[in-house]
Amino acid sequence: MNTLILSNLIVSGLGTGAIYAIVALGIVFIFRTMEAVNFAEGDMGMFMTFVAFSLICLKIPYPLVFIIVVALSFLFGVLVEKGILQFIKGMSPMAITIVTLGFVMVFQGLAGFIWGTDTKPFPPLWKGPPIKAHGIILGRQDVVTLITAFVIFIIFVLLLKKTKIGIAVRAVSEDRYAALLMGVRVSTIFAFVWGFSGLLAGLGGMLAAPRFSLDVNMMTTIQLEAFTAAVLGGFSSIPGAIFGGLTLGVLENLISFYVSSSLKEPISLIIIVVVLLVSPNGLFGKKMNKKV
Amino acid sequence: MLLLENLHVSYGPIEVIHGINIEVKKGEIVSLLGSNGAGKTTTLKAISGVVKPTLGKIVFNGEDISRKEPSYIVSKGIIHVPEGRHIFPGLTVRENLLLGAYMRVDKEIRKDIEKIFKYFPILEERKNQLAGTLSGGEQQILAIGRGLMAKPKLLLLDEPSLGLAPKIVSEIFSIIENLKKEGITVLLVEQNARKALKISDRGYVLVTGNILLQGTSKELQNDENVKKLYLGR
Amino acid sequence: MKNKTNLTILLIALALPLVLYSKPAFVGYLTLAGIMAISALGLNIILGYSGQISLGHAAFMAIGAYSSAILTMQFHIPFILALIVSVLIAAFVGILVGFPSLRLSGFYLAIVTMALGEAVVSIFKNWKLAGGNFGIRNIPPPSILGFVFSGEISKYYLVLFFLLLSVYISNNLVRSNTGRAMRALRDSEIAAQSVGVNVAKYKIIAFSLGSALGGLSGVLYAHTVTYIHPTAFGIGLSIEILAIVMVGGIGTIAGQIIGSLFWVILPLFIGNVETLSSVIFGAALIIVVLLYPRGLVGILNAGALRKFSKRRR
Repeated sequence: MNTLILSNLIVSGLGTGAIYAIVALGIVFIFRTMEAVNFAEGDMGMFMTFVAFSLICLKIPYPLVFIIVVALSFLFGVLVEKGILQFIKGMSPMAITIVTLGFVMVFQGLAGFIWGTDTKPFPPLWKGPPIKAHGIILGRQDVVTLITAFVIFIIFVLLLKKTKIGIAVRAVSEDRYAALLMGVRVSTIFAFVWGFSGLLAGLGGMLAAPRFSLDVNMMTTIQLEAFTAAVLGGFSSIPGAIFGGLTLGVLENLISFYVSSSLKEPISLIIIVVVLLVSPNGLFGKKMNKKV
Repeated sequence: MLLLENLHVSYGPIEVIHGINIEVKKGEIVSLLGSNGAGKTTTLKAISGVVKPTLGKIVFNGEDISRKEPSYIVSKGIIHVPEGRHIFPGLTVRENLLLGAYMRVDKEIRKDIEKIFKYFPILEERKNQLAGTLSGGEQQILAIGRGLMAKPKLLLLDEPSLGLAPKIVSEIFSIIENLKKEGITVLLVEQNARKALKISDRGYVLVTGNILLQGTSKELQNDENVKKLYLGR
Repeated sequence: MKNKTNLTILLIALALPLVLYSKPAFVGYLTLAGIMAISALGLNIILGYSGQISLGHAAFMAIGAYSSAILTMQFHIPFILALIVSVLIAAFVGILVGFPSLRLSGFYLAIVTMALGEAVVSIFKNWKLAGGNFGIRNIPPPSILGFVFSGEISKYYLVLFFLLLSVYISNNLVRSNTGRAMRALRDSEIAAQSVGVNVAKYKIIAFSLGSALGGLSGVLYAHTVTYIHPTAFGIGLSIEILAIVMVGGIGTIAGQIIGSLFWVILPLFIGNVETLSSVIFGAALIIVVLLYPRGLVGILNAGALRKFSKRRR
């Protein structure tokens, strides 16, 4: 009986954790290549989820909308980079980070202006009662989330390991100057990285909206959890972000069940502070290169 | 093949190259000598498009490339192997070589990697290892191999012998000599003037952003100033 | 010359309510701008003078606001005493938050301060005495020695007094050795350390002073607006305060006041559409970072600067 509760908690924790991991991956991906923290990652996702909401309102079937918005999210990220960040060439990563704080205000304001600040309903990708198997009960949206996350992680890793642009992305994050000498157009790589991060954000938003709610502030908490996940993973490690997200999801579930449900929110905040102060390289991260 | 005409380069308000003229002919090895801070690396950076000249022209095979982007210059066949090697430490040896061929679109890339492996067997042994785990000499060989993957017409080599053990230095120089036999033109920046002049056809001596001397390697080897300043005799 | 300008601005500030006597609502906006300016001056000490990023500044406003509201309402402590205690509490928490800055810099500090800020909000959300999610209503207006600041105009003058006090503190700080040490560590921590600046000490001082001003601003906010709830002090407000500092002009005192005025008055110009003003303010932040690092105060000063820049450098 006890193990059954435990496994249920773990499985549903993985479902939530997968969302954290997806958003964390977007943040880490940008950090690795540009050394800047994108505080607007969550809100890029929020914005694209509202776009999905509008498309659904036009009676376009949701699975189709899902695919369209994933593609649009990529374009959105590219647009942000090409449209605005292009101009900060040579600026410090901190300046870029502060610009992303400006994005937070712009995206939240714009979403509120277009769609209103009230909460909207958002459909799950797979409707129906929860699935039961061997005593484990799992919501269908959780199943979709886990599968999507799994697929996107595989695609992501293959992309970085096997494709030309993926290898170039890694080269740029290791040594921008050398990559330039190989003929890599760094600005193209940045645009691609922002595009892919935008895609992850959109995906995270659409997967989160049915579970939480669709409103302007929906991603604020999720982004904080994603930061925790990234911090757990060492902030520049891609597998670290994935494991960090999944671990956090499970941990939250376990603590809120076995200790106290009021701890669910503060736990990630405590983790961020403690991990960063005690072991800034996270649990899975490699050594960070500290720059003066 | 390559012509620098009255080239000036500045970093912000400070000019570091004060109008130099350099010519590299097809099939030559040309050495660019000089002490630290003379502007050798800056000259190479200007050729590869990393820094833009403030004045003057860089002409490659008749085309002015002085204000072009690095990617364009790479696609024209000028490859810059930077000082300090700058290999990608977290990428495997194989991935490093693949990046060398980044601008290529032909289907021969795989074949050429095999060629490089045949040429430098040590790289084949280490092909799945992270480049950061290689020794200094191996990293230099990788940096050159990575440069060759771009099928260069002109190779800019910046201090390829820096920080390497004497035995490996000789190996690197014989590799450079062999490049010439393969038909690759080389512009070589070196502090080891003696070895550089031994393998090159001509040379230039750069002093604080000006060309002080130029001539065939023989002439330079016998020049009293060069002997005193760079050959340690 | 500069003193004359300052005196003129002060006289205008003192006289404004008399002119706007018939529009108490507008005076209320100016009061709010003053409150935000006090908070921004606090963040400016942390961010502008000593170069430590903080994304949790609104939490200090929350600490000030809640402490003072609880002290006056639950414990019936006089306003001025509650104000002093609340500011001290904020300063103390500021010291605690300052400690991470000794180990972390840049993004990591940004993330930790954001997390700590959210933690404060989460504490107030879950704390019964603080009204939980509903917050605290009907907070009494400020009163000193029996005089109740209930009208808009009296509140304005009270806030103006504390704003001037904050300007005075900031101004003295800039000219003091402490201020110079802070700027040294902003420009280069390693260089500051090498010339014997006790980096840890000045970081802590910056965080405690800055947080104290944040707390003061929160106290005034609670007693003038008379209603507080926890989510108002979240990351959103922290970002807005940071935007005020940047848009107004980081590292300047006048910039904080100009930035706050801009923040308060902007919505009035676009028909009070809060979302739209967020877009414009966010865009202003981006533009300032990209093009005008000196902010509005720099743009206003551009003429004067051009005149003197040669001599200064």
